[in-house]
Amino acid sequence: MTEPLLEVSRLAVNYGAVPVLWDISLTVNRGELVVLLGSNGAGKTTSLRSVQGVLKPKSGKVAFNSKDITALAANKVTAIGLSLVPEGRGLFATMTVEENLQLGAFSKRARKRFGENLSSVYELFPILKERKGQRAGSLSGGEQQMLAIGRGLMSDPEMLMLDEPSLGLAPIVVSKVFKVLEGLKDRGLTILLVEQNVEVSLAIADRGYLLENGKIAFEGTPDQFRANESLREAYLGL
Amino acid sequence: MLLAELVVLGLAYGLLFGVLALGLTLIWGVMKVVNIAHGDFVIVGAYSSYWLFVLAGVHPILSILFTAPFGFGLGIIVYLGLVRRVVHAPELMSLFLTFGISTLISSLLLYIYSPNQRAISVTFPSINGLGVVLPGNVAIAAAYAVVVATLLRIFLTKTYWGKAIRAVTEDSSSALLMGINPEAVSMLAFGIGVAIASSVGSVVMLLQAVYPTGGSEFTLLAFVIVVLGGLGSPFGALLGGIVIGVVDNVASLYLPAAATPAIGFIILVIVLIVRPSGIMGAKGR
Repeated sequence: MTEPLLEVSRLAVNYGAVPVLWDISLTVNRGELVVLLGSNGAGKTTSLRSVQGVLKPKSGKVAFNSKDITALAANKVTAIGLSLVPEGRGLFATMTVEENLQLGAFSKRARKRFGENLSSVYELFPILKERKGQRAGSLSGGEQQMLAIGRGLMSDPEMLMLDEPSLGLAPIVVSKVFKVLEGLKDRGLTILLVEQNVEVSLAIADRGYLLENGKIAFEGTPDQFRANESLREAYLGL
Repeated sequence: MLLAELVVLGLAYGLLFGVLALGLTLIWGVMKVVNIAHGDFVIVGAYSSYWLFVLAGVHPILSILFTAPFGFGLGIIVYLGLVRRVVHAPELMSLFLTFGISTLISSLLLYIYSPNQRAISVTFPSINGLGVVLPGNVAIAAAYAVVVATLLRIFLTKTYWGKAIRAVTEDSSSALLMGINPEAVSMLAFGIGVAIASSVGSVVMLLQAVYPTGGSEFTLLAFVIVVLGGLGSPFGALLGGIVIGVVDNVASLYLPAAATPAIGFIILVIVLIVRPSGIMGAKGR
């Protein structure tokens, strides 16, 4: 299966007059789990937000399912099956767990399959079912991340982008979250993962990109990442 | 007993004011715009009901069936034509704009209807119970407020669009990622806010005379209640309304009439010193 689902070509993004991304080209094939690595401030979050349409790129092109979505508003991008689980989770803390999941299914396409998706999310994260009437803000960090992922899945996505799902979580919870991502991939979901947690993410990824100062500095399979001496020393801390 | 009577009266007025403030807080919550014209939309509703009554004999309560949808449509037109342009601008810009809308509305009403006060006399029989007498018109106003607050609550907690309003209020960038169009939600919230203001105007016709420039009093009242209750909190708005209503009425028993309007503001100042985010407001804002 090497049919490209997401194709980003020569993307450049400015914050005001300051260039943040210079030249980002990457491809995620259907069914793949691709990880985007890089240090703080390399432009990982900006990349995801630009692909989603939250930020408007200065130049370049984003195509999803062979459709040009560069100029599409972020809410419409979600509605056609590309969903972003943001950094810091972005939950609606004063609303209940179930309300958060319902909001994840706001788009028409997702509402049609609401019941089906809700039961599969509850099956994936039984704790969310137990806590469905509780305010999202009262959950533990790990549970909140599971809710954020579950809410992303409620949009019935073909592809899920996750921005640092391991942020602020204890190692044992991180491995739980990554196990879930692996499981989702096995079910055929396409995933683009942004992470600083190199080792864990390379362990579940099919391919990876390294982002450095707003440019793609390296791309390859996990083995190629691990085999590259200069990468190991400079960026990966392996 | 006079005191009990004033408390009940204050409760009834407070519910009505609280619902008026609900409209203001809904708009603020979604788009962070303080609608200075809120009270002027009350006057628009009041005049609509006045003329419907005088010209066609439509009962003010029945005319809500007109003023509410009319206000909704008017709110959407004002949002699309004007407010939309300042939602992302600094807050001062939206203050200027809604102040301008307020002046425009009151001037137009002044031009069309003259500065004369207008009143209609429709009276409902008063309600007696437990030694307390509540004027029928005030009871009807309170009933209206309860109905609107209940409908709004159902809307906000049971429907997709109501939840979307709450989601945008809490975190608009996250709401965008859910596939929610913040523009559509803002339009909806502004429409509902103005529909509430304008239907409150119909009820106000049962209680007092109105005049074209009287809107600013309602804006100020609603603003005090919203800040008192906590910006963006619907329940806080209702609670704030009741506090202001009761205190205002009870104070009239002990203070000269000219001094009672100050009481609400004194409470506001005290609450803001003790709890800057308002009674139900989020902490640490």
